[in-house]
Amino acid sequence: MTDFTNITIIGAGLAALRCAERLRERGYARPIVIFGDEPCGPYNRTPLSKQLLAGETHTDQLRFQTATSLDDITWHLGTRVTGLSRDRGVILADGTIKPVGGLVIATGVTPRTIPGAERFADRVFVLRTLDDCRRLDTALATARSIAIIGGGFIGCEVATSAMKRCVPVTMIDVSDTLLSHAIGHELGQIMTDIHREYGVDVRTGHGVASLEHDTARDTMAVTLTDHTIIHADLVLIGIGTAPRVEGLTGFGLDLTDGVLCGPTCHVIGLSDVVAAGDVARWPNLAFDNVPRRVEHWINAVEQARHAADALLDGIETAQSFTPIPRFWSEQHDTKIQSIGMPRLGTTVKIAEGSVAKRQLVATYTNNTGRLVGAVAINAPRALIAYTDRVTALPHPHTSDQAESTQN
Amino acid sequence: MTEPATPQPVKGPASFQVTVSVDNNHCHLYAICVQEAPEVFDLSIDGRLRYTAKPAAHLYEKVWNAARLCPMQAIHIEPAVTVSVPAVLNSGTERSNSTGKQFRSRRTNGKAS
Repeated sequence: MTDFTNITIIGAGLAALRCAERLRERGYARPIVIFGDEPCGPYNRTPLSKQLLAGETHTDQLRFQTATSLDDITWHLGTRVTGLSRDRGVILADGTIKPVGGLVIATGVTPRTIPGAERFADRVFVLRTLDDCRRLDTALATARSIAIIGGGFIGCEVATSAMKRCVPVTMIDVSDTLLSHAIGHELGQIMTDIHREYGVDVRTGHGVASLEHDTARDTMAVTLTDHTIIHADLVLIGIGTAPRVEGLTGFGLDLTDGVLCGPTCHVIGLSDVVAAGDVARWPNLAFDNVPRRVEHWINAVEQARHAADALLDGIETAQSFTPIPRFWSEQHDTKIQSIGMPRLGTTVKIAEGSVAKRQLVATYTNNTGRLVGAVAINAPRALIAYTDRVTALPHPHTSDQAESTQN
Repeated sequence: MTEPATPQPVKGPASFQVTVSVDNNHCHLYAICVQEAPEVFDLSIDGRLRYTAKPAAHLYEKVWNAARLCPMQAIHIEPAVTVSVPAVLNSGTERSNSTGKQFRSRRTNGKAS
């Protein structure tokens, strides 16, 4: 087992927490030092767009439980890491350099936005942090309407929460359906229909041309590429994320779309640096050899634990990280769950259940006939059987094209 | 009263007896726990979650994975530690909670005995 003088974790979210927990479980007893730029320690982000925004839960319930005590960890919160120094340290905003033994990169992602949106900070929102959630929550309390740009998970979940609060929603997505990026056109259409049935005004097929404040009406005016103008008191931008790599220069890492790792989660070229969570781009050899980021909450937990093991075991003996990715969402009382990588599928089939009943499992197969993913709508029990089927098949190695999987 | 024993550091699967409880107010029946620990959790055909409150010690890792990966964080394990790092979670605007009880901040383990 590798024995580092300390293990430093950059990032203080879910992946950092689960990594630290695993390090202590494994008996690593030397200092663990965590740097995070949010003012608070790890909390559960998944309820922010759902139960917290809908008023169904409380921030105290965002705390995590761990199996081991993390009392002796050194937390540097509200502290931004600005770079890595070649003599093995992390550089802080004030110029201080803190020495690093083993390093875990778990910086996560930040929401992408639309150029110029920052001019309307009291009207235009993103949702990633608790602070984002609080500001949106306050604004929704008095808003007459909200326009949501981007029909991904954040957009669809915020739409659900806003409708629960009786704030009318217009959803804008450049694709033909909502959620098409994650679950494909066929199931995306089902979810689009559900959002419309619940009263969401869904506008698909056109992107946003401009975002302005209409002073006469005192609304935000969102102009689409077909020249339609949508007026709303508030705008939420949910158009995906960018990996947070801005403080990771100095070690010569490949920071193209996240931190490039090998199959074990070791950062390419380094035996004492690992990455985990949304920022890590690694090849999941259970599917192919293409490095991808997987922005699923479950992946952050599993990869963080694997990265802890990999760091302690050393690059020579560490195992490859080969999970079957899983995600879930809940929108208008409809549960969506996925296993595997549906996006790698070229053929979608309703394997059981029915579209009419809104209870089904769809399978996604690739062009070699391999089952690469399954998505359930309101069918959590039926989905369980598909886990083994996605796991069981052989692993064809395909193209080297880079891509990322969101949510 | 003695402090409960704590699991020893391990490389492989740990073996330790824990107590499991599921908060029915929070469980949304995603059945991730059934994927993780089918020996302990079961989603019946009528859509009810059943579970073993005192699973065998050798299922420790599986039970904890179920709790860690629960989408609603509705599975509680004793002993466990509620993370309370220097937090500002409860500052700022709070709305009333419409779904009832809150988890108490609790510490059932942590200091070595």
